[in-house]
Amino acid sequence: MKTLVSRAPILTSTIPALTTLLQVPPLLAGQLSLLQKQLLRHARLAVYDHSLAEDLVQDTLVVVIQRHTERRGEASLLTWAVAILRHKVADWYRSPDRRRMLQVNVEDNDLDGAIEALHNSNASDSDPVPAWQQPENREEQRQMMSVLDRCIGCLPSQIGRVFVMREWLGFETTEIGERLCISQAHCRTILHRARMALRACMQRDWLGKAEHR
Amino acid sequence: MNWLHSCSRVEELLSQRLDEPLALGDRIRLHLHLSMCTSCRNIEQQLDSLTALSARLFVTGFDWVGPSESGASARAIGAPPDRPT
Repeated sequence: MKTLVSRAPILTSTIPALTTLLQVPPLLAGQLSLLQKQLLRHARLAVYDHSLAEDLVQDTLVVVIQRHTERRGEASLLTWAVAILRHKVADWYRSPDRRRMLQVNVEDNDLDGAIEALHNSNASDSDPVPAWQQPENREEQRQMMSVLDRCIGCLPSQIGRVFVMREWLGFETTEIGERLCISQAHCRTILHRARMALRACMQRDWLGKAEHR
Repeated sequence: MNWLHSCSRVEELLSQRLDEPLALGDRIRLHLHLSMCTSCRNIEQQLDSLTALSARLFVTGFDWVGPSESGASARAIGAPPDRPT
């Protein structure tokens, strides 16, 4: 991967400069600031360091600006940009010069507490687990996605990152272990906890609300 | 030790199965447990939904700060939308 040039956090105000420099058509220029926010959301879930997330997003925006005329098909600008960002993030994890990640400590009491809290807010474990109703229409599906989006954002960041590496970057558990310097068993436990926490969160915020409809 | 898995062990295996192939013994015991336990079948269904929805969310990028289409996106940022009925 190319060396990341800028270490300074990018601000929305740098986008006009970028668009002038690269002669971006006005239609695209108008979408960039929103796109940047959306991409940052993904990037921050995926990497530990905020300024690194901003660098990866900035790199992605440059590619978007340079290659937007090549975009074709039905993919939205956001979907297309997210795919570019995904490559950038995966490349970063695989590059030899990446900065070392913090150890992911699954015994961390804070993590236990956070998941415990999610579970306790739910019905007790002895209660039968209900099936989830599938959303009936686009609006319901959209609401379900928005609840899940918020639930993923509420995961303790270390757990969330492992989940994102698995479900977004598509890394195998062996590779996640290697990149984060944790054992495969440890990785398995973290993913299990992430899914438990997400189930509990969805149970509370999606199913719980749905029952009142 | 119980020959059949407990529900909590089954939940672990259901998660593990999403990431790697299970050993034959675990596959058989999981299958037997699921055939008898509605709760764990529902957990299986929830995990499948979760995985499919997450994949979609990550790939399409959720426009949570997106331009408001009749207010739906704006509401999606924080709390779940109000249901007047």
